[in-house]
Amino acid sequence: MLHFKISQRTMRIATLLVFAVSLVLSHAPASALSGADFNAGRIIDDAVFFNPNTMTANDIQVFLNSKVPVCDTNGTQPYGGTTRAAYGASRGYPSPYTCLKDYSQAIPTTVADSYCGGTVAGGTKSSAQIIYDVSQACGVSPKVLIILLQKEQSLVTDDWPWSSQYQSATGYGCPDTAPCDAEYYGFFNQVYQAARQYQRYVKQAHLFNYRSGQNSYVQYNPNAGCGGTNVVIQNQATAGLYNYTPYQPNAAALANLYGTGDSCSAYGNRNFWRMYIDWFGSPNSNTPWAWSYEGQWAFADAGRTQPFTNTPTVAPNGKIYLRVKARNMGISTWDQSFLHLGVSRPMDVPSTFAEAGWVSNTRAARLVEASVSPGQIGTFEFAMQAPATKGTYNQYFNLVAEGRSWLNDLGLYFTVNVNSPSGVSNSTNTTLTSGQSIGHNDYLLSPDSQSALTLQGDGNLVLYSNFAATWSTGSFGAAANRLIMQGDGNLVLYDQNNVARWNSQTGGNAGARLVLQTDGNMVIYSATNVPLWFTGTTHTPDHLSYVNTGFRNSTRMFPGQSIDTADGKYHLIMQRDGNLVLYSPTRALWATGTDGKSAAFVSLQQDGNLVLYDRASRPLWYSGTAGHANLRSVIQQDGNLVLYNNLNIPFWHTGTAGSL
Amino acid sequence: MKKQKRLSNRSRIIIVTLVGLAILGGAFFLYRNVLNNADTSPTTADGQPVNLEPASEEEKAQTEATKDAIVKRDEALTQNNDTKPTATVVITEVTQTSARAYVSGVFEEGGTCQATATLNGVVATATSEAFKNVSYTQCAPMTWNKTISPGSWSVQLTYTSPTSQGSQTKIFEVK
Repeated sequence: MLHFKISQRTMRIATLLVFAVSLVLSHAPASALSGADFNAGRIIDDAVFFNPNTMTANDIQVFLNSKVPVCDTNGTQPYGGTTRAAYGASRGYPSPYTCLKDYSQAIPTTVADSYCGGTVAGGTKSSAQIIYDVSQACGVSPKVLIILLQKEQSLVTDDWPWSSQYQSATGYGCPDTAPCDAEYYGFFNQVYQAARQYQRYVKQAHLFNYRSGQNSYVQYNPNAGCGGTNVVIQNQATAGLYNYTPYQPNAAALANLYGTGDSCSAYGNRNFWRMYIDWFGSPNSNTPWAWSYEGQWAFADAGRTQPFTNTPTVAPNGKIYLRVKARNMGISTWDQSFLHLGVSRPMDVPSTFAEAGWVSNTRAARLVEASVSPGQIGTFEFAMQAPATKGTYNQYFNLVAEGRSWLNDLGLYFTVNVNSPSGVSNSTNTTLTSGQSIGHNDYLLSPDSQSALTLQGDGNLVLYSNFAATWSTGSFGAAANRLIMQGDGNLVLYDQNNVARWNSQTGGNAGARLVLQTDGNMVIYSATNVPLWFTGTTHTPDHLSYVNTGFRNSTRMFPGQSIDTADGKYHLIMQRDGNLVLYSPTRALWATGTDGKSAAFVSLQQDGNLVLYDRASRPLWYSGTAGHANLRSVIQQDGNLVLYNNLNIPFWHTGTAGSL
Repeated sequence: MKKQKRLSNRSRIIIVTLVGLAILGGAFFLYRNVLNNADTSPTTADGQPVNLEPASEEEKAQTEATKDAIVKRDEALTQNNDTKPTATVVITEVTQTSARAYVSGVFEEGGTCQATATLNGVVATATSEAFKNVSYTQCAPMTWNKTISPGSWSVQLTYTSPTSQGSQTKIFEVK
């Protein structure tokens, strides 16, 4: 028994103290996420974002199942004073509703490209399988794709999703204040295009607003009046998030993480960050070994002064010289003694391109720098020696910390065309001599047929080199119909009223001539061979004949030009007799049958149609693929000529695969 | 004798309070770290923990808010069917050699971005073609026709396409 009296006052104080402490203890969370934890320059780390191995397809299915235990398929729950089904129907979205965990779709097979280096096999697949397959093909974490679907359309937690949420699942092709572009509709399209675009932000970083290491202005909201701040972006994953959704959360949005801020708030990137943490934990990497892509280059010379401006073409057994830059995204320092660039996909298998200077036949190079600390960029320089067999080859590489670990496989590769340099072709119209002129749809060809100058029916004078427009007078719509290399030395473009629409300002040089050269440059030479004017469109290096295995849209092919496979087996030739013919090594496989019809050029138009026109711009033949933007043509090593869109879906082909 | 009693009173109260706190703390620790957790929390293929709880009330509320946003957007787009899309130009970076910008509110190919930088009577220009990027139109990077010196340049960027146009003028500190 206690032999003391406790006064009422001390008793009250003690009770209050105990009560207060227990109150604090029972409500203290383990660690509360606060807006102050958001770092605008580093939303998520590269090693986390670009790791495709974070979840199996089963992990994804289990995850989707957990978020929506019961799907309100028939919309029976109440909403807005009626049932969900009735409300949805009134808005144009009737039941039944399919939840993401139960959703499946028939998808086509994709073709690998430089952004998504793997393939997604076609078939009917669940959403979990689609998310997994896209993550593998494009090298983006499935966790990132799940968060993207949630932040754009709340698709992961929705127990009665509407059709439009699947059509525009990742917001691709949906401007803020205009209708979505139907070309990108569909769950698979949306997921694939988004993942591919994240890789495009890495591989073509120079084209976009936000780049790793740069200080750029990021708005708070589509309304510019809401302002914004400069942000130093610390890695490529974060740059990619801003390139996808160019807004950062303002203070009001950060102060109310699970709700709304003010009229100037935009929530996309805040929600990405918060949702990732809520579901998957820290978006920061503590991986010892990881890298992010900083660039790759191919050169024709050992001194690396002549960069290839197209896919490198090299003679059998010839060499090309490469450079790769990689940023250390892990927490360990790279050292020249163990950090190598190795052959991958498959790993550790001797490469066809191994060259004498390699560390070994499975390790192309060691670091140029003695050591590279986390966050810094390292360089690899090495050569590749082409095999004796002509053809188109892809060689994959990945970083390896020898004796420790391979780094994350980002699908880095180089494409090389191995082909003999061809001799000068029989192209005779390479020059416009003094007094000569050309009219609509006439053309000049360089001696190797790789470059073409043409006066188009739309009035624009355009120089194409390797089937890409490199120069033009920009006189589209000016009704220009005649280009004349005048006797006074001036090259002039006249319209139908004889008004000069463009000229080279080289008058006063009687006897000058215009020459289209093998190096891609177009030059006006004086009578004494002094260059007076040039387009400056030299392609490098100029001592090789490029193999063109296809062309993109808004380009033309003229009689005397062709596209060919690098192994020299198949050719699509725009012949001077007017016929467009696909040849195998032994015979003609396919043709438009337009010989004798004075065909002037074949054009892959912006609308997707491949059309053969005569000199009066009348169509003689067409593929019928109008309505599909961004098509490109490819002549394949299997003998098929195909038109693909930028999702690598084929829309037309000659049906000659496997033909000999 | 009285002084001793007060001291022991105070010290006994302190002891009682400390014991009470210890019991509470122990109970709290027990609750949070032993009774509430499963033996193995779920992980994914990378060994990281994953949240397999059903959608929280806040997440459900945000999901419903997405439906409201869809309805609002559908209504806004039906009303604005014949008005031209508004192109809003945003310049993101200006350096001595280049300028970068994008155009929100439109999603199209082939438009032109034209930039002009002015300072003390010196004018530099740059042009590029614009292309589609997810939900807006991206100007390809523009290279000034002459390198601009460090200073406070007034930069105007005009976007034109067959169906829309927009412009932004802003002062940039070029370093």
